[in-house]
Amino acid sequence: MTHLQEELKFLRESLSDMAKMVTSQLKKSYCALADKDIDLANEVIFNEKRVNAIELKIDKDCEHIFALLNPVAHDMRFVFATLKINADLERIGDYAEGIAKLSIQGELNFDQQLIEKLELKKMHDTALDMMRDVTSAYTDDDTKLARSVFTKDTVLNDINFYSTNIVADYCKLNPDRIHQALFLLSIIRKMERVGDHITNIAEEVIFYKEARVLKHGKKKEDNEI
Amino acid sequence: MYKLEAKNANLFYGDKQALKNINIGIKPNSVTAFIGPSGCGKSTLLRCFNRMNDLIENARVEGDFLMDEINIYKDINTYELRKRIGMVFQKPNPFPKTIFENVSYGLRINGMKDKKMIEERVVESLKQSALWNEVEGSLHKSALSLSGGQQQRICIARALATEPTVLLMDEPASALDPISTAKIEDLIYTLKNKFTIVIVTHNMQQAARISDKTAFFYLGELIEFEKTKKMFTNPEEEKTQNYITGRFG
Amino acid sequence: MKNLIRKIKFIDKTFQYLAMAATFFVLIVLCVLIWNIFSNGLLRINGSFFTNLPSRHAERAGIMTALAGMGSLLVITIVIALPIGVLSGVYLEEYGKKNKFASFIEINIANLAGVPSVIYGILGLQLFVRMAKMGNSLLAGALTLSLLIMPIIIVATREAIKAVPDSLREASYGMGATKWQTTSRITIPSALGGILTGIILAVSRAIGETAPLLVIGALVYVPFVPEGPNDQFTTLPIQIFNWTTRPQEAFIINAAAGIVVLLLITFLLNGIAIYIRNKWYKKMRY
Repeated sequence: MTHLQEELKFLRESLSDMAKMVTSQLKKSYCALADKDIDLANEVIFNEKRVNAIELKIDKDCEHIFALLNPVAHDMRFVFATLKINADLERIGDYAEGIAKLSIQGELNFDQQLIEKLELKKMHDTALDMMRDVTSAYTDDDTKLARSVFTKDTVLNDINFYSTNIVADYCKLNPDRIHQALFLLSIIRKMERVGDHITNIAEEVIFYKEARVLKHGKKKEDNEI
Repeated sequence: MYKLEAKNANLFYGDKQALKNINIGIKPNSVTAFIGPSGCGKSTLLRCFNRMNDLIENARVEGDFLMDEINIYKDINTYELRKRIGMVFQKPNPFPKTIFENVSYGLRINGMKDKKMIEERVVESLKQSALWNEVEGSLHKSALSLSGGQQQRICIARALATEPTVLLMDEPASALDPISTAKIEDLIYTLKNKFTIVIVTHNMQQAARISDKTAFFYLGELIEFEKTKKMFTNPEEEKTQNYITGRFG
Repeated sequence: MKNLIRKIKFIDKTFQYLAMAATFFVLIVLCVLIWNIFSNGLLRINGSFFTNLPSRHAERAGIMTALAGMGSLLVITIVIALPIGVLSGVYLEEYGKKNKFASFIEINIANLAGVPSVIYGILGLQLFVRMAKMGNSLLAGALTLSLLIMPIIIVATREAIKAVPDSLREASYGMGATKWQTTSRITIPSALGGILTGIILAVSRAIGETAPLLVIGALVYVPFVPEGPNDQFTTLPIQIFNWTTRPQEAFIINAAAGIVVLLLITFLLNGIAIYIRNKWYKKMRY
């Protein structure tokens, strides 16, 4: 195995670890909310610092690989993709932290019925599922798996789409709990953003594997029509 | 502790000063690259460490050169020194002899007679230089029948046979094609576990790829000596920055 | 423009034909010479021609003593000239300091190689025959011939050693070899082809030499095979020279036959030299 291959393998492992860490952050942030566990929420907020540190380290590793080992072709795309995925993961980590913070602000006292109506659990499960898919797509170079997250993302988008009306209706009926409802809405928005970042990651995996740029694709199609 | 060290080193070719007050310390089991434009003194410094400059008639050396704290120019004889410090040159220069005779040359001139031991060392060296699989059946063919890259690896094997602890390489890949170069680079990367390697190179990317630390020379002076990662991402000196980005030199 | 091209082409062709004509001229002269000699002498060569002693009767005369004299002369010459010549060449190229004195010596050796052979004869006559009181013996002749071919051997050795790339010496020194180890194990073996070629060419020159041997007093008529270095001797060129001075037609034919033998020996030696050189260059391609 050449020096470059070794470094790339190491980089891939680092980013996989980062992805696992972020996944667990996401999971914990939801569990804190669902189980009303304030310690877990605090843990998520605390761990965010570690996620940031890993992000900086992977950035540095990519920089060194570019400066020292001159990757080209597939290798170069891989390092570029890793750099971008790294940024996406960091944003997802931020959202996890945001969810934890909002949960604490909402004093972990949300209307259980509203949560169920908003399908928050389904949203979380789907997001986690996508996270797992995209992580193994990255570690195993599996573009088929990467493509599967695009359809799953529509679930998140739909839930997000209907959430506005649901929350509005709820607010009309329970004017004393408007704050709580709005916090939940923010959480849903964040979840939806998480989905978007995961699809970005999937696009990057497809980019480095197949050298095809998928992002902004839909817009282009729209223009053609 | 340093494996190789130069203290206040100066070198003159007649009246011309080729090295100006060099201070450098090289740690064991690392790869150190010397880079710089032609005539900057990087090869000259390399050749001070195994006293190859002694072969040049009007070369004069000042200052201290140490290997394992032993003064290279005072406390050890030249032949003993060169057995401990292997050298690989720019052009592959195998002797016009068989592969076996080439690799065993260093052992023979040291007076080793035991055929079995010689054979073991030869095989071991060829394995270390990642050549064994390619020449296993043809040890008694002329070394000149090999390709350029293989010849260079024969030269590395030849240098390794006397079990040195230091390997000096003077642009070892500059006469080779890219594939052979990559092989030599990978070899250097694996050899650093066992040896202290100093390599002179014109190819900055090569220095970046294989070395742990890089020294930049300019007009006989050591401008900067830093970890390669630092050197190629954020060098301290402006001259270094200009050179490695290709803005001069 | 067109004219210019035509002119250049014309000059080009003219030069080509001129060079070709010159080559053919030399070849034709050589062919005539060889034809002339071979047609006269070839039939005269038989077994007894090699085993007979010289004789007053042309039919019974042979080249036995001349061949034996020449053979022993060459062996002694090589024994003397080879070690001295090769060692001098090695010394001058590998050990001698490169200064003005060295270049002075170098020029002089090159000049010596070009000195007319008869001068060596006079030198040998004074030095060996008279001062060392060797008389007109094999040894005196061998010493004289040694003087003659030594510069050639030295020059050839130096050239061959110069052709060994410095990178090989560096590699050897880099392994911790001493000067002696480097010279004896790397430099000389690598230069051996060139040195051998030079030696053979020098010997084939020595074979043809007549003048210096005549000067030191080699006999034209020796009815016995020399048995020691102090014996008198004759050689093939001298025998040929002797026969050509006879008035009888039969001796002229003898001379032609002698020349055929001499030519064959020279061709053989030159052929060996070329063979070794080619083989060596193939081995030493850098």
